[in-house]
Amino acid sequence: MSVPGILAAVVGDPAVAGLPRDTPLLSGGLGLDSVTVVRLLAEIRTATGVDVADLDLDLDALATIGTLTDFVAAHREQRGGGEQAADAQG
Amino acid sequence: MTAVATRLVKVVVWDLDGTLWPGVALESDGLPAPYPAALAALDTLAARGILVSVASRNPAEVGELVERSALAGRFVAAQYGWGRKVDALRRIAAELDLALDALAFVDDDPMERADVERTLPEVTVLAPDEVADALSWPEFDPGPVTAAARSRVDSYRQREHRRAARSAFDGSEEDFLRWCELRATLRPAATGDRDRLVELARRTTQYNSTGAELPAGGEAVVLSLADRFGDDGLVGMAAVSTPDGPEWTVDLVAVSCRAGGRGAVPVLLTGVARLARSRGARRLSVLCRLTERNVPIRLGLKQAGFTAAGRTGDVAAYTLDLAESPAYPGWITVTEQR
Repeated sequence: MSVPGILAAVVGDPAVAGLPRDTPLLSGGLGLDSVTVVRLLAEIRTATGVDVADLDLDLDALATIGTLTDFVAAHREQRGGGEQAADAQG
Repeated sequence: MTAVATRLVKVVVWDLDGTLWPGVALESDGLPAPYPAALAALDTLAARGILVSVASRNPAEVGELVERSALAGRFVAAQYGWGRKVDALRRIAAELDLALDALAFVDDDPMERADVERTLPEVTVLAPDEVADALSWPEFDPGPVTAAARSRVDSYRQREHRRAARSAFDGSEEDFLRWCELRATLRPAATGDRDRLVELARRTTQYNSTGAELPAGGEAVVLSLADRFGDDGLVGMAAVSTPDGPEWTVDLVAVSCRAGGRGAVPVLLTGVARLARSRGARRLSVLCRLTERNVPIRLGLKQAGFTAAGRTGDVAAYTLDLAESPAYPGWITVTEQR
């Protein structure tokens, strides 16, 4: 599943998947609360094998929907495909 | 540093019919009297500062009856209605700003328990006759319990009022915080704070930098918070083991989740930065364990202007240059006592 798709599932609103890439995830945008951010990163890690919390020390990826999507895509490529990587981790 | 491995249950969610009381409320004349064992468990939980909530398939009218009964005022974020208990538990976690593994769920119906166990494996699931025994498990033992913890139910009720006001408020988050008249007091920790600081170090996860025990030496800055809805008391602390020299290192930051959700982390760290600067430090460093659970505190570090300077294993150092005096956010009134 794509990052916008995972995001929509976590907040429980399908319309979120269609929001512009420059929509901020935190204040001034979706305003995700702390619990939701933690759940989102866990879902992304499970679905793609990319552990944003561990890889992005300054959490710059959490700026907008677009930055998070790009961050996950870039690290997925590095890992040689998310699904396989997630499988390899067991 | 030793990480605290024990997960703590912070809210116990009860089914009502057949669990908290015998029989079915809707088929009774008035509410059935609670089981004495369940009532005793509610008292024990209250004395330990552990919250209690409700996930019941009864209609909301039963909830209104509960609030007019001897049980009034005991439950926070209670959920009524014909939906899955799994969804009720998720809503309770979201409303209280708690992770799912801080929840325990008590239900007499094995089907309900199995559904929760399968869907939300983080939740501690109990049959009613297991509760008395479970109360002696380490996850139900928060350690020394302070007055602040015992008044936690009141504090969460204020929080519900605040939340209701927020959803009715038409404006930005910052405008809302301003309207709340949020006030923080920062002061050095005193001897009498010790139990509360140990408790903060143990109970916090989302806004806890390292998960370590409270450092034995050094200094600590503590933060108290109040707003128009009430006084939360001591809700945050930052411990500095060697408060001298050009670079200070904060070994542990712990802020309660109800305060962290209101921007307390950047306020506390800005306070520590100003103190360090006033005593000649040029740089402030905060050690932070890189877990998914404490991403919220790292967002607070970022808001306060800290950036990552490097990592050793799963611990990163976040630093702030003190060339200029850091300023508090505009939406809060801060009183510094040194």
